[in-house]
Amino acid sequence: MVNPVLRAVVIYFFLLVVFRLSGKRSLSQLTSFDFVLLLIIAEATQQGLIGNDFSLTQALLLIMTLIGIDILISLLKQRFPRLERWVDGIPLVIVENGRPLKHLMDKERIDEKDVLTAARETQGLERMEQIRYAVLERSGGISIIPNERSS
Amino acid sequence: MLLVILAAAAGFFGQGLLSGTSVGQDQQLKIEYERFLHYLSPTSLMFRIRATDSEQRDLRIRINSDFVQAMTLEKVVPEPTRVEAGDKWLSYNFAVNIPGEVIIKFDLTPQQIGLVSAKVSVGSAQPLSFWQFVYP
Repeated sequence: MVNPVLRAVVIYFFLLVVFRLSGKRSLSQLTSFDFVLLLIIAEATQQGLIGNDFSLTQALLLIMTLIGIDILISLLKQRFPRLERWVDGIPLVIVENGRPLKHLMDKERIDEKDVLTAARETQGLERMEQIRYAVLERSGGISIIPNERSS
Repeated sequence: MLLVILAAAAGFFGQGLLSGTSVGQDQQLKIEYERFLHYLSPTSLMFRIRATDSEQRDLRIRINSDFVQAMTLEKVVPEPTRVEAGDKWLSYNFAVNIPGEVIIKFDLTPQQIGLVSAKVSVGSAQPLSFWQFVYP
């Protein structure tokens, strides 16, 4: 039997590290397989958190601890900007004046097609040259700032 | 909220430093148990018995039946040779090879929420009493 607080702390930080290492884009745009993967991860996490203790007390303690850690981390992020950069990442410019910044895109596993998809969907743009800036946000989405000439 | 989490980490709601305890500090008998339990979540009672009487081949653990009713007895290791029921008590008899320390483990699942009190005696020794609290 492992203390529920300890279980919650271990699972929280494990998931934080794994999802941070897997990059911003890993679950931001869900394909149907990503969705299935998410369900399996949730199921496995649940087993690890609850074990064979199905009592109300265990559930309440786990919820309280997970939310407690979340509040603690957000307080620490306000105080230490470096921690915030590590936990949430920083917005990343990946296209500048129509020129894709290849090395950054490769690092985040994004290609030009992803950028053009975002450009079409959000701005109705057709070509890379029409994009002034494309920014990979912390959430994993790509935001597009169009060239003034193209609008 | 922080206080509740800290109390939980310390074992006030089960499984921790505050929860694990024992009665009977003398050499003869010691019972290790959890003070705080969760409803329907497995737990165990561990008896450490140092038998010195060389004629004692048969060890008897007697438990009040209220306690046995509040818990489901999942397993006893080693298996008792005989179980007897009496007026408000149950006794479990074990074949032991002494002298030495005998460890007997009762695996239990709490079936009742709230305070449960146990009265346990081993052989002819004075009975030991303790309580356990079962959280919902």
